[in-house]
Amino acid sequence: MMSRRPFLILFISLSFGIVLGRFLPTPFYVLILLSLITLSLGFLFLKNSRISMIFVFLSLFLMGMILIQNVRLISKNDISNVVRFYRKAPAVIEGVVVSDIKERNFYQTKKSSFELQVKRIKSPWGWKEKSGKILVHVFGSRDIVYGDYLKLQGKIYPAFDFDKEKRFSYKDYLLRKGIRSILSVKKKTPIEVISSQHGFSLKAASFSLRKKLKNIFNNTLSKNQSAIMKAIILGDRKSIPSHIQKLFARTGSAHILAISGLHIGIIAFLVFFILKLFPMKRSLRFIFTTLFLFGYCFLVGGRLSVVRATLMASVFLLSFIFEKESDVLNSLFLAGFLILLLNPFNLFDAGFQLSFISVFSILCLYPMIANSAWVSDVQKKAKSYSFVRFLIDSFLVSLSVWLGVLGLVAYYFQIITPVTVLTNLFVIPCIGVIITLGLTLILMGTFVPQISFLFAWCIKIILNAMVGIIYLMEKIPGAYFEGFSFSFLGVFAYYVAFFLLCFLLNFKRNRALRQY
Amino acid sequence: MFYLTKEERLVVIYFGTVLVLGSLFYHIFKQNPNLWNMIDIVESQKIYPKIDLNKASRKQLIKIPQVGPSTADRILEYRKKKSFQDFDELKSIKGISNSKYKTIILYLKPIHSP
Repeated sequence: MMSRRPFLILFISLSFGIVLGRFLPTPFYVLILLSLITLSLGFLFLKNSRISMIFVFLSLFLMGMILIQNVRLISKNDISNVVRFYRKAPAVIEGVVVSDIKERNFYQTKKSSFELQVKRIKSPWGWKEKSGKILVHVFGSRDIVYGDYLKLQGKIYPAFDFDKEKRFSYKDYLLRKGIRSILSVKKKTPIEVISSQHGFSLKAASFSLRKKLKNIFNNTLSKNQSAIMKAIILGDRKSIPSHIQKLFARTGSAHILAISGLHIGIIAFLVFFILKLFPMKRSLRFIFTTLFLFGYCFLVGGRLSVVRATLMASVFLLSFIFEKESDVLNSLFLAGFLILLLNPFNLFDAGFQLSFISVFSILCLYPMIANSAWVSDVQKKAKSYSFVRFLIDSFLVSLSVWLGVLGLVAYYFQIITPVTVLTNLFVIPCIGVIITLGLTLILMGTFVPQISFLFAWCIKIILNAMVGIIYLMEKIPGAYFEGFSFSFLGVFAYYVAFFLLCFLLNFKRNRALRQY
Repeated sequence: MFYLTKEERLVVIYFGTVLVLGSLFYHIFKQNPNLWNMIDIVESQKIYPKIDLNKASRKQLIKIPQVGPSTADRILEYRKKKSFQDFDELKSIKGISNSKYKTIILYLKPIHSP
């Protein structure tokens, strides 16, 4: 029997609405009126499921268009409305630091970046109350923490794109965070901390805990090893040297340097396993695992990729609690649907698209390839060798994901990495061990720091083994092809072909099942 | 009374393995730092993507940290006049300070004299 996947069509309707709403501005009140009409018609024809469903999907489509207009709406008091008046003169702004402070080396000095919730701005007619978030870059070493109420002076300008030719839009990236302007404060300009502790105490505690955890890695591992571990466990990628990032990108393994579904899956498995040590009901274990994942998501700063993976894992875990048969594909679309409701601009985020298509490929393309006649033949021959079967399966999962993300990777990053399929066979088992060891190191570093170095040594060895393998993979001729310029039309054609292939394989599989 | 569940046994085995292997690695590599230097690829300069200074295109040069478009142009200008025989010649190019030089050479293949 075919599973019901209500969220598939809900997700698709909403997505189409968001896309159309972005590129085809429609009067807001027209959209509201049309939505109300379609919702009413959906209700009126409730007994006729086909007609009612059409109206429900249409209303969701219109809701997508409305949602994107809501996000685009700028309040009259928003700071971005007055930025153009400060082109020549520096702006004096007061506001509260609402994010963690990201510090990095910048040539001979330091550069700190953080988000500021603007409270007021100085104008020739005195202070004016303002709202909205801005990104602040401060040069030189400063003592600023989350929750500080600051008075800053610097150059303010609208968010911009670094390189128009590049597919990644910095402006859109900031817009997804609700940021439309940037303030740059020079090295010698003083910053006044008017008062402190204006933030949420829970958020401040999470930043302070994250700092402590980072120190555990910094104290037990060398510089680059610590940088990789901070990226894998805490989602902090900024200290990874560019040559290591490039090495991972060229072998298609950059995904392991960001917290994704893979990481969340491993962590959920570990937490669930640990909870098995305690006498408690199975449903309680699922609840605690879900709570842990939300806590972890909060700790690592609620990045979009982590929120997405956590939502998906939670939907999956909660379905066990309610003892409802879980359809993973439906959970994927439910998570996607919730993420789009949180912020419709997430649909245009490369990370969202990549992880969504990766999971989709694992769930849809992989079983179809694995069940195809020639693969089944090979697997039958390897029946008695479970390790060979495991290798074949892993290879097919890796191949499915690579085929799924190929178009997007070529479009956004202008690179094609066939070696990914092979690299993942080695890297994914390594990452499982690294995450387990990393979490244990945190635990040991906190409670028994005297023996944490033994855990650190195991991490050092496995990290070196993983990077060594990646380094060798990069050296294989034809491992990667850089400088591809995939047009939007090219990517579109690729995904039409991709989904057609999925549909065709699914059709063949269903027919074979029916005959059987 | 002395019974351990499967999960408890697995946890003990995991901690035991890490402690034993960690001690082994610690002893081996503390006594043989040279061996560790050979193995420690994450911190090593071996994995830097290296390019040929005498053949690299403008695009390749810009990809080196600390090399911007203008520095890349100056390197190409210098190369038009004569090819590089030694990395030290980079220091004579405007915009390449000592600290920049130290970073840049990490990304260059050794120059072989003809």
